[in-house]
Amino acid sequence: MQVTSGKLSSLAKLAVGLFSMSAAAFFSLSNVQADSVDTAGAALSGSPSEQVNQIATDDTAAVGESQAGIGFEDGGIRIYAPSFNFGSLFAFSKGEQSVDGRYDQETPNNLGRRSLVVNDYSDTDGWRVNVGIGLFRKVDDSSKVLDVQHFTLRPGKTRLYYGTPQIPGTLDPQKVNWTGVYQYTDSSQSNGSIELKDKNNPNSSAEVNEGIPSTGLPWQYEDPSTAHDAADVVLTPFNDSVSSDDLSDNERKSDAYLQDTSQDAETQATHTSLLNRWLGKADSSLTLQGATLRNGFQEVWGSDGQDASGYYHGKGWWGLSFNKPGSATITLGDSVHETGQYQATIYWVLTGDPLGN
Amino acid sequence: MEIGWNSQKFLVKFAILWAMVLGGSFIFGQQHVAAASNSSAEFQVKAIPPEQQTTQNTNFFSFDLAHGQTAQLGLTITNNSNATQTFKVKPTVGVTNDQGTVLYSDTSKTRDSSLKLDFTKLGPEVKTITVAAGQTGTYTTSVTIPENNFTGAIVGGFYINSPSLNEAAMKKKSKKNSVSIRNVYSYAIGALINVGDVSTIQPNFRIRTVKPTVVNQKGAVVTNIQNFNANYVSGRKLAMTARVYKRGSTEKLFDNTVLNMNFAPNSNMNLPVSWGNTEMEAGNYTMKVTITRGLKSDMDHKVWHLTKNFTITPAQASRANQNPNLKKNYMWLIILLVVVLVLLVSVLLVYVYKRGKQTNTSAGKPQQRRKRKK
Repeated sequence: MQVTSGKLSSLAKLAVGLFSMSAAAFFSLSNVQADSVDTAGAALSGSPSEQVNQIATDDTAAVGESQAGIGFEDGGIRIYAPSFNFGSLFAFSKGEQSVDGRYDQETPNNLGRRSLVVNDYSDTDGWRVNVGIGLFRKVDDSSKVLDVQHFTLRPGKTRLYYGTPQIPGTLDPQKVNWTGVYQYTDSSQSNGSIELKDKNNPNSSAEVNEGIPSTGLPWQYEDPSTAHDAADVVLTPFNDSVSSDDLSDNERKSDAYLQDTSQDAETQATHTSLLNRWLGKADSSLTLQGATLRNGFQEVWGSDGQDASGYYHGKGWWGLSFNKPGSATITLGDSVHETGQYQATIYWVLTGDPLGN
Repeated sequence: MEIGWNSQKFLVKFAILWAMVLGGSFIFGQQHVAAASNSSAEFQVKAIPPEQQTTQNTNFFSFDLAHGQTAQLGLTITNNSNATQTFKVKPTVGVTNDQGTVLYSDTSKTRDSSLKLDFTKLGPEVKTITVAAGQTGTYTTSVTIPENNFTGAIVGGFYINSPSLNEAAMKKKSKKNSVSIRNVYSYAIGALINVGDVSTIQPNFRIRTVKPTVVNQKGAVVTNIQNFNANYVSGRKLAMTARVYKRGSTEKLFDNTVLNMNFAPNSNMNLPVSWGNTEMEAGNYTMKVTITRGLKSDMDHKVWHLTKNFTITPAQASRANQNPNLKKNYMWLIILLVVVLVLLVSVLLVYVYKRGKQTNTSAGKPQQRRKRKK
């Protein structure tokens, strides 16, 4: 078929028009994303005590609606999982897609969104986090699956945070009634100190600082060492259509374990989890020397007492932030992705392990 | 300014392509992962140790029991959500995963062939308990060691999840984003029971099978290693190195080392050796595995040397060679192409030679005729 010069000129104009429209659409899309960044990045309000509560709570933290906080309970362990955002994945995308830079700045809100947090008031040794991920299924047709070959967590690109609240040196941490220490339902408890009750003597009380330095935020207890320099955790999505409560064979795969093979800088102890547990050496007066070295604390709340090796163990919370681009990625295959909404499920297992160490 | 014919053609092509790319991505592409913030397990599980517990302040069970003796185990499950929830407790047998981690969440019915006492058959029951919002429920069960001559360690545990919370999580759908990831939580509480003088039983290893397979799209051979005795390795003291040789050769082809491993009693795990991007060839091979427990200076230092011959059939090699990045051996193809090329050139040369000769012959005759006419 012959195309005349005039026809081609019209076609060229049409194409230029299309080009302009599509480019405009592209940039308007970018603006939509920028708006959502602003919303997500809203600053936390309230006292440091409220903020430490919010660090590990769910979505409501993002909009400032504080709810029950960390909820420590004597001997209890609780896990908070991160949410991941890979930004825009185009229909023709393939290869590695990094977690986006939306939460790159490690503000309190962002840490809460993208952090794996374990609150632990049991013994120091013997817990770990296992993880597996199901297929990315289309919401309106679960038989259709997005071609995600791997979901990768890169602990080496994360930052480790931990907190160990302070109490007066005269108060026996073993006698503290833990319930309620970090549960704030009463806004009057926002003055930076709270009342602890001796569980053996409910009438007694002591003023306690929550362990937040007045000049900083709780997440500033960042481990400055490279102790969390762990290997990548590469998860292959498994078919979870049959049963979501049975990881079985999938969890047995070598990639389903968040392992930290690093060693503690002071004790040379090998960690057994992605999240390092603090293993500071303490003297008999419960002054944790390690803590002094690391974050300036002279008194650390929540010692479990001495172990067989003569070490006191700190209690608190551990957080690993996946905020940096590249700290979490998905790898898309070469297939053409069918458009639509997709969902996958991450299965987190918090394990108490008698053979842990 | 006049745009030339070729420039216009190029502009049309470029603009249409760009429109397709950007417009298409706008219409079809937008796939976001949910921007929701992190979430928490809305329940907590805490072990209630038996009176025989030997390790205090822990969230697992560890105790000694004699034959015929019973221990009462319990779990408290605190429902931190704002609605009544159901929680399912399933007893499990401790297994070893491929990285040398003991798992207590394997709810399958598969058991290691060397297992003598199955934790799930010593009394622990599967139970579903309902806990009101903000309340704590209790699971209790007992474990009894039968009257027999068993000596060793029994490793099992309890896998706890909430069907109702899982269901609620599954129903959560992203409102404005296209690709979302939701979190589902569960707990696994391990139990270690020592029966009799456990020190008289040592962990011991053997190779059960060596099979070719595909791991991460690469050809690999997986060696199944079994600890067939009723004792474990803890403290991440175990290291394993697997090496593959052509049978009869001392030249190592491929290897893999896994460090910092634990191993449950009477359990098995798979140790893979990847062929990487090299094509797997059928043939006879030997797998040599070295297992080391502890440092040489340790009292319990021990080394196991395990060997097993295996064969990769052409069909198995073909199945394993599905790696898209495979560095294939194209030498045979190159030789074939060279031979074909040489043949083609030879045929062509012969053809040209003959054709030329023919042309010369046929061309010469009319000229002669013409000359004669003159």
